[in-house]
Formats: sequence, structure tokens, C-alpha cells
Amino acid sequence: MRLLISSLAFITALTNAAPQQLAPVQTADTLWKLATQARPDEQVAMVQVVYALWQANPDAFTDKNINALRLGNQLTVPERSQMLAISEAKARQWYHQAIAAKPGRSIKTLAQANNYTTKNPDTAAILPAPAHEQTTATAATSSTKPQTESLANKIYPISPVLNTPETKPAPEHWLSALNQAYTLSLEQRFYPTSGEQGQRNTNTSVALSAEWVWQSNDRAHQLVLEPFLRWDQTDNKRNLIDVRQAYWQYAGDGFDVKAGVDIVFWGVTESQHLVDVINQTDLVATIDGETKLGQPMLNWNLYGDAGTLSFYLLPYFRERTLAGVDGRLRPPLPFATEHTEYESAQAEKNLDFALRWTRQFDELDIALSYFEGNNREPLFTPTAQGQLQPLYLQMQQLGLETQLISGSWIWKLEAIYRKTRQQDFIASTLGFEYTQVGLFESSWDVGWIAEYQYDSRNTLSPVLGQNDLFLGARLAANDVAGSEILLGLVQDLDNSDSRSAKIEAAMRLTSNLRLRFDAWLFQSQQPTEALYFIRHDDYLQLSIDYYF
Amino acid sequence: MRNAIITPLVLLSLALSLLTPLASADDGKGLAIAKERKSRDAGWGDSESLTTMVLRNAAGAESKREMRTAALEMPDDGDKGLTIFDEPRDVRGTAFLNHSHPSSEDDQWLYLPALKRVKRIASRNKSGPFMGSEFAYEDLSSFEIAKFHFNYLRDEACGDSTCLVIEQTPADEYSGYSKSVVWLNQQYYQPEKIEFYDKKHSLLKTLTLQDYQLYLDKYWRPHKLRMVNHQTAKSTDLIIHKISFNTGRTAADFDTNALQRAR
Repeated sequence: MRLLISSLAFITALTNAAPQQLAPVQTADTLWKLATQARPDEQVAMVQVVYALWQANPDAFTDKNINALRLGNQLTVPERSQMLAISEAKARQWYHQAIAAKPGRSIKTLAQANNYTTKNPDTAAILPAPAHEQTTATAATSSTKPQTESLANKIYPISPVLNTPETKPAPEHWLSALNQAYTLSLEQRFYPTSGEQGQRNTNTSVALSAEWVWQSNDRAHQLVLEPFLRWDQTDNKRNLIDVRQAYWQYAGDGFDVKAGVDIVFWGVTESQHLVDVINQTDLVATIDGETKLGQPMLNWNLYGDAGTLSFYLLPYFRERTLAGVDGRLRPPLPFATEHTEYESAQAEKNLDFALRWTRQFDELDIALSYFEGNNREPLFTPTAQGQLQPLYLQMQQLGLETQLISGSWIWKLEAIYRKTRQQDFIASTLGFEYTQVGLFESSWDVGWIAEYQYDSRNTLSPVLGQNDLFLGARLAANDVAGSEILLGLVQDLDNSDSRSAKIEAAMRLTSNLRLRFDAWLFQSQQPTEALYFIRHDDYLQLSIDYYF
Repeated sequence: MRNAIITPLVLLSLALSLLTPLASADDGKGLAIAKERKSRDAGWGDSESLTTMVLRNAAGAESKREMRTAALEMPDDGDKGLTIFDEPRDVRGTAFLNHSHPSSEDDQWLYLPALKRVKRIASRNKSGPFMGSEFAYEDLSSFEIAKFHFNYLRDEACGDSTCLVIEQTPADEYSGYSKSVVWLNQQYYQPEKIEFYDKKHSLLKTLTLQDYQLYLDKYWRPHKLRMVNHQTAKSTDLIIHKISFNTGRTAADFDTNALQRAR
């Protein structure tokens, strides 16, 4: 039956191949009525016939208004292929707007739309104007003539236009199937003073990272791979081959699951990240501890009205990166990283786990977390060979994160209770970030940060942030170069001569290049403090990041 | 005979035109027009778009920004929006999530790919430049009745059609503007031009909206927005390459969990 219809259609199409003319327009005729006569077969929609008739007979209508058919005209019937040249959907959309143009005032509107069609290359591409304007329309399509900018010349198109007005081909999809990005970073450090153990004053390092992201069309599945390589001129312990991300993630209705290597950030404060324990710190990368190593994991997140509940199974532990003999920013004794010890019999294969619940109550965010497994922070025991042997104890940690937004203020609190075989303690960071925009009527923004750091461990143990105050200012120029500067100072409130300060500045040179400047300053007079060991390791660093 | 009919009409219209300035300037007409504008644009659901921004300084030097935006209409609240930056490359992967609210402050988060961190940010100050462009954050947020006080000024010819000229005074004291004047196409209820006045009441910026195209048989969307800053001679073109509707996005695609996955 279907075969019969299509062959009939084919025959009809053949018989209609030659242009035909309809009888002269009578008073009772409407374009729709004439179109029923002109329609070759059922596979051509009525609206397609109407559109083709209108297009082929521009002089048959007053002001090209389809509602104003002129008496006595003989309409030429276009070929079937011409009727099918426009999709049914577009023809229908055009038709509904065209019939809405009532005779009189609205005739002009339709005429305007036609003018616009010839002016606008995109409109022309989809809805060609009536025949005698066809040539101009085609010319406009091929030329990239800029459109007239003035408001006076802008007229609404009456037809839907789905083409795009750009000069370069735009990406077709919101996310291309595979996204790739590469970054090459060159860092040059300069230490004004020679190292305590005679280390060099200058150092060059190069880092390369790649990121490949694949996402399924429905965004449910995601594959991410991010390898990272670093080479250091002097300290071979700073050389690194890492996989920061290598996972598959599935996002379902109210949950997601992830398997593989990833970096997970927990926390709200700026000066230190106490609660953030999933990933090991790549300490030789940056002394602030913000750079992390990839962590193998199985992760479930469940979302609902009661917040988000996250479970983590962490089957493999990563050791902290520590400076080598030739490296700076280390204690006098070198680290014996090849003799690392663990409390757990499974050592780095100990199955760590964590869970976290987060919830947002309007302006208030709360998160509670629990972690059990290898402590990310090593203890160091001096060996007979005069080295420091890293020891990773087992730990349990309870974490709390809260932040409260109030206008330009964000109040932040992080607190942990951590228990190991050796000790248990409480540590906390409490502070605010206050944002000011349009500083001195410029486009500069400044974020003022003040955070108090507390640690219950006694002041003789070499940890930072026992009773310290962090003061910072984050300045953003909001300019084309995306220039920004972060100034920070940590002052020890127990020892007035103990402090560290940093400057981080960055600006964009081109769309692919970013220039960074970092400076660190360390001051301490107390040999019992962690800062004391690096008091001669102040440095300046200039870096260039190239994105490709 | 013909004159006899016309004359009373002319007189009547003259009388009306004289009366109008004496009556109160608005009588709620501005608000009614704004409500009509809002209602005509209701029901679009969700959309995705690809956008390029071209920033020009006073000397004409250009700089480009590329981004992808997804938006979700919330019938009883402000819209939700997710923007992912692709260019410049140093901010690639940075994502911005916004839950706008008609009468309270928006909820905003940033995803910082270098730290894999979702950071909640204070949204009170909306007058700051977006990506170093001439668009402020508030220029790009969804149109909500509660955000303004409206005052109808006049009808004015714009192009071949007529525009309703409306004065909008921001309800939020933290807006960067004292007022804006909107030229709304009378037929389509879409803005053709907006003038922004700074806090000192001088003309700051002019936005022209062009290349309106129709989607889903009902919703007009401009594809080229040009913002000119009259005080700095800088300008920004915001070019929307592609808009898709009915993308199947739900509120779950606009929460902080989804922000972490946004690529």
C-alpha cells in the first residue's frame, strides 16, 4: 500500500514537472483554495504549496500580502521540488504569521518583513523572498556585508531564522564530544639568599598538563583524564609524573557515582584548608599546600531535600611530595622518603573512607564530614643516618564547615577534631571575606579577608597556625587582561617576630598566555617553629602559562 | 463633507494631546507594559546558547571571550543560569552558577577548575564588569518585575515601527544605575535600545539589541547586543551564535553538584 502511494506520488510529480498555470483568480478564490488545486500530492503539505505559490507569483498579491490576492491574475504553479525546498515546519510558521497580516495596516508589516528578508542574509537563506527578489537575496547570502547598525534600520523579521550571524563557523553543540586542553608552564624562582644547606639561588621548572573530557550527549556519562608532568632543574624530588584526574562518572536522578582518580575539595576558608583531607598535598609544587595529587576513589553522591550525602572509598594512598637534598624550603635534615613507614599493616593500600553531608539553608551553608584512614600529614622521626623518616599514622577526623552570606560579607568557619595514636587535637579557622566593588570609582574590586587560625596542640610542636592571624586582600582589576593581585600576611600572635607574607599577581598577555608573579617572605626567630627552618628561603617567582 | 468628519477628530486628538501632560505621567502604564513584556516571554522552559563577546577599548583593540550558557525558567522565582567559560584559555573550565531571585539577593557560585573548588560568592554587588566587558552582571540577569519601578514616558518612532519608552528605576540600592530608559518595540514587547544612567544621573552606557529571531513560535531573542560606554568609549559586542530550547535540562542541572560536573 505504501509502495502504491509513493509510486502514485512519483507519477503525480512527473506529470507536474512542467510549470502549470491555474485559472484566473475569481472573487471567491483564496490562496488556500488555489493551493488545493495546485497541490501535487499528499506528501507536500498545504503550507508548502501556499508558500511556493506566493514565492512564484510575487505580482499576484497587493504588497505581497497573501491575504490580498489580485483578481484576474493567473498563478504559475511551481514544481513539486520547489514546494519541498522549504520544510513543512518553517512553511507553517511563515504561514501563521503571514495570514495574521490583515489587509490595511498589516500589509505594510508583511512588506517590511520582505524587505528585511533581502537585507538579512540569514533570513534569506531560509526563506527566499518572492522570485523577483531572489537574486538580491542570494547575493546577500554569499556576501558577509556587515549589517547596518543603526536602530532606525532594524526591523523584526517576521519569519523564524535558525541560522547564525557569525563570520566563523560556530560549534554545533553545547559540548563537543571530546574537549581537550593543554597547559605548559615555565617557572623561574629566585632566592635572594643561598640555602641553609648551600642550595642554589635560582631554579627553573617546567610543567605540562593535558585534560581530555568526554561527555555523552545527555551529559549522564563523563570521562575525564588529566595527566601532569613536572621537571625541576635542581631538585629531582620535585620531578613528578601524576594523574590528577582519570575517572568515569555517571550522573543519574538524584545521585552520581564516580570511579577513578580525582581531586576533591572540601572547605570554605582561604588561608588554610583544615577539613580538606581526601587528596594528598603536592607540597613541593607550592608552599601554600593548595596543589594536590590525584586520589584513586569510588565516590557516591546522593542529593535530596535533606542535602547532599557523599561517600568515598579510597583504596590507595599517595605520599606527600617532599623536597630533596638539593631542594629549598625544607628542614636541615633531608627526608628519607624511600623509607616511608605506615602505622597500617596495609601501608599505602589501607582502605580509607570518608563521608560528608552538606546542606544549604538559604544564606547558611553547613557541611559535616568524617574521615578514617592514613593521615595525609606525615610525622618525621630522625634516623641514625641523620635523616627524617616520614611516618603516616592512622587517623580519625571530624570536620565542620559553615559559611554565612550576609550582603557583601561572608563569614566562614572550619573546624576539625583529629585523633591519632599519638595525640588528639582541635584546630579551627574562623574569619570573613568582605567584598567591595568599584574601588575609588574605578572598576577595581577588592576582597578583604581576615581569618584567625587556632590549633590546640602545644606551642612546642612545629605546626603552623596555632594562634595566628591571617590578613589578606584580593584585588581584581576587572580589565581585559584579567589582572589580579592577592596580598596575604600570617602573623603569629604568640611570637611577634614570626610571620610569613605572600604576593600573588597575575595578568593575561594574550588569550593563550598568562603571566604570574609570586613572592614569599618568611620570618622567625624561634628554632621550635616550623617557619624557622625556611626563614632564609624567601623567594620570587615569575611564571608563564601557555594554554593550547 | 470629508473635512467635516476630519475636523472634530483632529480637535479631539489635539485636546487629548494637551490633556496627557497634565495627567499624572504614568498611571501604572509602565508597570502594565512591563507585565505584558514579562508575560509574553513566559513559558520558554529551558535553553542553551553559545556566545562570543568582543571587547573593544577606546583605540579599537579587540579581545574575545567565548562561553556557553544554559538557562532554566523558574515560574515562581528568578531564572537559573549556568555559564561555562571557554576563552580566554586561562579561565577555561571556570563555571558560574546563578540562582536569581526577583526580590532578594541572587545565590551565586563559581567553580574554579585549578582547585576543583566550588566557591560561593557574595552577590550583592552586581554593578561590577562581567569578564572585563562593558556588561555588568546586572545587565545579564533575567528581567523581573520586582527589580524595577516602571514609568511610561512616551511613544516614539523607532525604525519603521513604534516603541514604548519606559523609564526603569532599579529597586536594589546596590545597582550601579540611577535609572535606565528602555525602548520597547510596541509590536513584540522586546527591547530595542536601553540607556543606562550612572549614580550621578549622567548617561553611562547604551545597549542596542539586534537580530531578533523567533523561537518556538513565540519567543523573540536578540542575537547581537552592543553595549557602548559613553564615558570610556569602550564597547562590547555580545553575539549569540546559537540558542536551543527544550534541551531537557531540569533544576538538577543547576545545583552545586551539577556545577562540579560542568564541563
